[in-house]
Amino acid sequence: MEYLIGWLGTSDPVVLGIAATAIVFGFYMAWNIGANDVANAMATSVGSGSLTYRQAIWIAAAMELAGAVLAGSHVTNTIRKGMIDVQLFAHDPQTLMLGMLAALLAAAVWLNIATLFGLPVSTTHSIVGAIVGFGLFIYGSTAIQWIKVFQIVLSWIISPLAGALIAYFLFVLIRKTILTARNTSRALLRLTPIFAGLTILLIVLATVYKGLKNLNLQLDTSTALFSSLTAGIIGAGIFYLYVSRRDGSRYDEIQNVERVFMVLQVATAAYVAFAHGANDVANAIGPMAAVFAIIQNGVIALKVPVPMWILLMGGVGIVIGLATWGYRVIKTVGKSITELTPTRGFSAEFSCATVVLVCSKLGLPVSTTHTLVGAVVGVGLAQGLGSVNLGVMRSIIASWLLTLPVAGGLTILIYLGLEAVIQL
Amino acid sequence: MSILAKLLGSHAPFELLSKHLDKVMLCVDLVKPLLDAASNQNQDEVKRIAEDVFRLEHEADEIKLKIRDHLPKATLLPVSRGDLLNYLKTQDNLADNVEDLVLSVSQLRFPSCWTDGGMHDELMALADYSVSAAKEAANMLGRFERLRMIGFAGDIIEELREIANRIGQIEAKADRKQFKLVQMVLEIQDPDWHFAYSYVLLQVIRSLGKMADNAESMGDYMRLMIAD
Repeated sequence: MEYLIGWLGTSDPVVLGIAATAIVFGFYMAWNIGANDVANAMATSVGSGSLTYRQAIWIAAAMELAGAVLAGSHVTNTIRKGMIDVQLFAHDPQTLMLGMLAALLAAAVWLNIATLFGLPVSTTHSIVGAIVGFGLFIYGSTAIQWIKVFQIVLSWIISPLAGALIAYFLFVLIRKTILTARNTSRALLRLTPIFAGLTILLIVLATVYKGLKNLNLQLDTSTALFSSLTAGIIGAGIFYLYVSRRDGSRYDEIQNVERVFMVLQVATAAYVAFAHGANDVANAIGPMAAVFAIIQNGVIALKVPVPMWILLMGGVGIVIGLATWGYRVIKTVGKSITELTPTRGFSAEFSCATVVLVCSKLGLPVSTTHTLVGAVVGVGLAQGLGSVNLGVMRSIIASWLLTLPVAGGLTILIYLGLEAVIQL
Repeated sequence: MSILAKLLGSHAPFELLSKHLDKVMLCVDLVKPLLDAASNQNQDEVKRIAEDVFRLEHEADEIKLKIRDHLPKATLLPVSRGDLLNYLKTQDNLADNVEDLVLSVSQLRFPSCWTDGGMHDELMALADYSVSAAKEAANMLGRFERLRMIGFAGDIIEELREIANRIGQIEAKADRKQFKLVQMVLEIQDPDWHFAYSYVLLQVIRSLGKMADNAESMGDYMRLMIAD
């Protein structure tokens, strides 16, 4: 509390109350993200047997945290001030503060309901719907930065498509060069180190390129490229040694390929968790950071850094959500999706993580779950889709159409409630 | 349930398809022992085999229903749902054919020309064709599983088409054998021979012929499942 008073520069009990509420709501939102979203990202690895669910939890925890802290601030900025015209609130920062609190709680409650009923609701869509709903309620459509919102909605359509496309070609490539190769072990030795190296390169690049400023460490582009390339090559070398030394003679050819991809899938599972942390932590801490920025500055500042401890708190919230609730989802999903073998899981996860990471670097909050679904469909298309049950597609579209108005409407109700409490 | 589970289906139809085939082939394996037992007038043995067939056929049916009940949930199916269900049906029919065979064989009487006239040998030859057609058909599913693992590309597609062709050739031989046997039945001269016995004998011949037909259909539906 002493720290909070010093940091916020005020001891007004109402303001401190708002700050504490922001922390509680932000944490609740992060918990929900961990409880619901992360499971989908990790389940493919558990399903294919690459990871036990306990291992999956540990990897997810470490990588979510790393992604949130090291690469998480771009999207936070978009959520905080990209979608509504914060200048409109210049004379009335308290309204914006309450609005952000309401948006957080509304999105978190909606997510919690969705998790209970197993609805495929995107955390990103919830928070975007909540903030836009609030802006519309207060100032009408002029408050909304429609261009930015349009970009975000466009990215929701593009990200599953991009996920599908990359996953499709990646699986076709693996099939052509490895699965149908005359000598699969030679093909494995030649190609899998490249996949391993590429995964590591992308994680490191996302971390060091414009990422380390959270640690007060800025690398210029060429240094960032060089260091990630070096890490990738080292990773590829280690993987080469691993593949060349392992004895695959116990397994039949295709089983052997899948075994090697199980190991690769551990890397991509980490990659997905990292990308998810980078993208989705913002959904919890973006509005929270906005509240703090207003309290600190008294006015709406355009550029305030997101403090490290807020990113960390978001990450910890996700991890706790994962540990207390998400593991159950991982367990059930993992058991049911055995059709996704390691080569397929690798293709889908690699594609999903890359798309999500690129989008979050561009400041576009996308849905990790929907991108992963796109990627899984992409792998399916590569094998030839004989049958498509439209029920799932329907539920995705319904969740799109439902989430925005529900989260927005809920935000307005909670906002009115908060306002009444403050005025007491 | 998570969206991924919904998307991929909570249940793998292909594993069950193999389990179903295992039961069906256990029935098929009993065809020749059954005919031998009947031919040796060993009614106890016929009864024992019949019990086994009824049990296996029932078990196969249960797996079949499981596949059918859960198939709508599988969304991303690499093959068409209709083709898969048709294939399942023909695979299941194979067990039904053996069951029909059991019902007729247990009523079988043997004309004087059974051993002397070579009818026994001809019937066993037909059974050979039918069983080997069914065995070729059963081999397809293993190759299909491998094709599925690889992701529906490569030489296995051609390999499967060749197996389907081979089944077609065996079925043609079975057809000719069936024709010959029907003629033999119609030419039975035994004075004690009753028309009803002919009827049962024709049923046996027909069931064996149907087995080869169904094996051929399995090949046809397999072709559809792997078609580009």
